[in-house]
Amino acid sequence: MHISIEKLRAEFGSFVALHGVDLEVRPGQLVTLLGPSGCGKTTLLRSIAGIVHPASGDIRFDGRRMNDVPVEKRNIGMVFQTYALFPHMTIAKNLAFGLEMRRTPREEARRRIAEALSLVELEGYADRYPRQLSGGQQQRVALARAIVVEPDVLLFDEPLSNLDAQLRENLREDLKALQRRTGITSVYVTHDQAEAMAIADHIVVMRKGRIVEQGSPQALYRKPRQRYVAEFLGHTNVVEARRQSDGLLVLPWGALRRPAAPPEAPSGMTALVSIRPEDIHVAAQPTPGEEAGVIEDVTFLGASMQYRIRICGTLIRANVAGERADQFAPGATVGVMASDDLHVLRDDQRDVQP
Amino acid sequence: MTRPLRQRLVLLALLAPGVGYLLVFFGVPLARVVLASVSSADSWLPQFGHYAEVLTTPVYREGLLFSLWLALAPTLVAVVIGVPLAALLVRSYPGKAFFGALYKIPLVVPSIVAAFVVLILLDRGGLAHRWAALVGISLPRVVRDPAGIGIILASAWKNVPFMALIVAGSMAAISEDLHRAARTLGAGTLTIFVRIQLPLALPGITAASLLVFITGLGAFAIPNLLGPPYPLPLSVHMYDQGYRRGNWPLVYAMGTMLSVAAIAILLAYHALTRRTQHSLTAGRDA
Amino acid sequence: MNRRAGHIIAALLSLYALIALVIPLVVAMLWSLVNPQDGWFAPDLVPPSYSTSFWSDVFATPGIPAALLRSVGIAIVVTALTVTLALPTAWALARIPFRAKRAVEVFILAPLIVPGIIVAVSLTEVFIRLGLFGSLLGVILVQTVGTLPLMIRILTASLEGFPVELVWAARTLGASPGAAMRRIVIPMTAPGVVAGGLLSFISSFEEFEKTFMIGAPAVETIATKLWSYLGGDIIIFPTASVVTFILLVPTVIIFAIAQALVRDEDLAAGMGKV
Repeated sequence: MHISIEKLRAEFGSFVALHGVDLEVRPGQLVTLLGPSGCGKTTLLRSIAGIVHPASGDIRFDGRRMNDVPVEKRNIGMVFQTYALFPHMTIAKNLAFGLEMRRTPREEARRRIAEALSLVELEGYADRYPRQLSGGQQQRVALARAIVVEPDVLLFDEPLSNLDAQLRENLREDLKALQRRTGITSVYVTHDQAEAMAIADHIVVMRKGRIVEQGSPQALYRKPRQRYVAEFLGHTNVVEARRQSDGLLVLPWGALRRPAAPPEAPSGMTALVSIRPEDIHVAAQPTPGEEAGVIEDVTFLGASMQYRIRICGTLIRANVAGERADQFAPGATVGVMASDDLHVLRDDQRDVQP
Repeated sequence: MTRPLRQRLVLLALLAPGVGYLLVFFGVPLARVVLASVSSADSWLPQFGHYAEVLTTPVYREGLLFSLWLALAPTLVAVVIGVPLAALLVRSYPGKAFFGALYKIPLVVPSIVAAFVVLILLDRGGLAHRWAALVGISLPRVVRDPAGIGIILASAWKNVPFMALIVAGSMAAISEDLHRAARTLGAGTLTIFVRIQLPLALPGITAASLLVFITGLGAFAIPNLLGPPYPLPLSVHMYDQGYRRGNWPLVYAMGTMLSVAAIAILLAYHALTRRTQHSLTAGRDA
Repeated sequence: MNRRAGHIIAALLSLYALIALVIPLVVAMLWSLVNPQDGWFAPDLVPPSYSTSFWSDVFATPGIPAALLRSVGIAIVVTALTVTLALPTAWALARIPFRAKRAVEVFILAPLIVPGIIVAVSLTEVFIRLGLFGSLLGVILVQTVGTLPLMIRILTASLEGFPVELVWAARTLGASPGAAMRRIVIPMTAPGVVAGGLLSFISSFEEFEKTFMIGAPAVETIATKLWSYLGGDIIIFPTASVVTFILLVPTVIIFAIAQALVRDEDLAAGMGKV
């Protein structure tokens, strides 16, 4: 199912939740809507579901306009943050509900319920009630209930946010595998960037009712175009660099780097550059011609060591992995080496209207 | 039909049965009482003669004061007994479920039964008098006494559980962590009750007090059964003057006076509970 | 919470229950079992002899079984009327945001606060003109003014707590609004409706003031019967005790069932707490 959204606008009274959003979801894709609370991601998801009625714009499934199709006729499966299992029905009855609504023959329904339960590894739980299950199990029942009806579109509304960290990571892998296997076009809302990167084929970053930037997780992480996206996905250092007439950028500590793409800023002006902490190497001595930094703080992160280094008045973070990671102590004077792969950002803090 | 218009019609259709019924059988008749209390055959202008009669005739003026007394005194008793009772009920103790259900029984016991209980126990010749006589004490007269002690006891008997129910609700809503925090700071049970539970339950106490007050102000059955021949509260005058003598304009004036008090209490109550209600609604919409 | 404190609380509550409930009920029970031959006079602390003759007398009194049946019948009709009128309105109050909601809530609360005698007085003249005064229908209509706000408020409180995602979940699974109502909302809110219905039943069954003023003397219920035993010049305690129990036992049993079905805060909401 191809989902196509054009100029979608949604309002709640005088509050505009979506300012004319355009989005394409290709068949079989898992698209994540990522953003802080209030960015409009849930409103967009609910518009696709038919729970929210947009003020204007179009929602199309395979070219068919869905705006006036009621929720129950859209053939979607939705997984809610609170799971929304029917507490007065057993697990099997919860799964049977959607099939009954579709008048699926009894035998087939029984077979499909059994299949769905084995898919989420809850074979023995058919006759239990939701309250007898743990949070993670309830979440899997909610997923099974959504897929047992063989929906054209799967919608996820922060499905893992009520679970603890360990379980969340396990479940998101299961969920991704299941989506790949069934190939159901999916839209997944989350505010957790790590979850978005782990699960999505395509991430759509939203802010204040608009789409800020979208792309594959790798592209958005490695080559963000906007400061907001660079800072929202993972950690990064945003530093000001001066542009020379030869196109090279001068970092605050004097290092010269050639950007992957030339900045928009004219020669002599400054540009914002994102440098991921893992792209910064810490050396015992600074390169000649560059300023030295002082280690302010060291944090052990397990796989790596994070240094906070004050250099030329700015604080930057560097993650150093491997055996040489813990050779510097707070107060040490070090050299900072950024990799060549620099990305110039647009400072969207200024150009997005509140 | 546009969506907003259709939604509005659906809303009206849903509200109509309940609100409509109350308008027809409560709102409009009450408004008619108020109008009838000031209208007269001779003039288009509102006439306040019946109000003057209530306020200047000693028997009615005394009755009005007696009504206020019968509203105030049970409210005080209900606070003094009901609030500590609530504080006990929200703690943990053996038999919590049992007591939690038991104390509410008087809520559904008719006030005539409450009056009957007072009669068999406290009237002259009642059990309390017989017990007191055993130890040589003679109890004062509390039924059909001029101070209305019997009335106050009967209505307190019904209202203490009501006070406790509402206040226990407020107290149960206080986070356990607040108690623990107070304890770590050195507060004992009594200090926690006075400094933490009472202030936080104050809106509940006030709300329940308003309702107990108005119940006492308009009560008819208990004062009629247990009250003295003089003074009579306004409610009893209303019954006598209306149903026995057909002096309806006077009854309407008394009814309007009680209604004004009731509506004032309703609005005070509304203002008192508005904030909590508002925060609840806000939380739900989020 | 240590055990000793728990025991002290239980002891204090037992003392309260003893004074407020046990003693009155035991004394009333003793009165109902007095032997008419011997009576129960001061200074006796218990009746000199017992008999069930007042019980059989009361049930043999022509008016009593009829009044009991009438009370039950009125309560059933009032409850059915109340539930029917309250459900849609409570749904709107609980689930649909609209501007005048607070005003509507206050108006619905008003009949719980305005004394019953005023409700009765305000309807008397109109009911006389319509021929409803002193009629069964008049009593049913005036009692519903009292039970309807209670029911709307209890239902609104229990519907407000209903998780709306369940309706959306049902809809995404293919249920029409009607099917979602039938399969999800009604089964899940049924306990609240039943509890509200039971409370309406009791508050009609025990209602006195409005019934007495609109219905008496033509429409006698068990509550107005008890009044007639207590309000006369000579009060016959044994007879009044028996009638008290006839009024009390069903009320307390039904209340206990209702309490098991409804949360305390919803009960409080129904009884006037906002």
